[in-house]
Amino acid sequence: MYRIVIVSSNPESFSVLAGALQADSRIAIERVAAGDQALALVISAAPNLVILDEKAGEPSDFEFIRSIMQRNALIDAVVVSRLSEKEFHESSEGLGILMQLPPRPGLPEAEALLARLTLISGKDFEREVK
Amino acid sequence: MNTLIAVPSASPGGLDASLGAHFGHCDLYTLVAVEDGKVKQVNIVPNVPHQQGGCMAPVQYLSQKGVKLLIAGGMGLRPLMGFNQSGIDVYYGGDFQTVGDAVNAVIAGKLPQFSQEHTCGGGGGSM
Repeated sequence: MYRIVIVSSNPESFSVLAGALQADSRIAIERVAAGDQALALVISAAPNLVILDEKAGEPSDFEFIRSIMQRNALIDAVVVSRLSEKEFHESSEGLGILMQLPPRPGLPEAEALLARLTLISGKDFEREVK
Repeated sequence: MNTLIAVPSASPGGLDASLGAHFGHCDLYTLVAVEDGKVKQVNIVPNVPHQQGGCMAPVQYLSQKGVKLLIAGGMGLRPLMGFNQSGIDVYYGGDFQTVGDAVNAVIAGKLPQFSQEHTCGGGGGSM
């Protein structure tokens, strides 16, 4: 099972993305509320992938990812951000973030994420999302 | 010192090759087996294909080859943490021109450990 944890204070904004990902029966999604317990819960869960909503990380989103990497670098990360591609790149350098997502990611983002997961995991995740 | 050292290298690899500027994007790795503080064997292995966010692929690749020590000139935080968490010690060798010089320096205990202060954004923005 490929386990994904979504960290957000607004989980319904991920309903389309999560639904598309879960169309693949090998993917399981857990949700963690943003807040001061989120980091400990993610580390404890040790998922394959964490999806971090914008402004859901403490003290900041990139520091949150940095803290995850310092404890378990095997956890892949995707971050929702409104930064430009260049700004995102500069802010996240070295953290190995898989991809940037826009707020309220939808089907195109789900398809892109599944394609990326296929590339890095070697698993042939279903790319035909509906 | 008995260990297996990996050094990101420019082609064609080997002790006389230049260090790869960044481990994730190097041409290949020179693997140096050290016994009793002396170089016993040198092998050259290809790098693994690099995907954005796939920083852990070379970590797992080198770990599976039995590497215990890595010398690098540049690396992002995530792979550094990955190496550390995999039990592979990372040393900073960015000041050396050749693989052999860097290996001799680490055998002599003259290389600093690669710390978070050495980490960079990494070429390609992902490693």
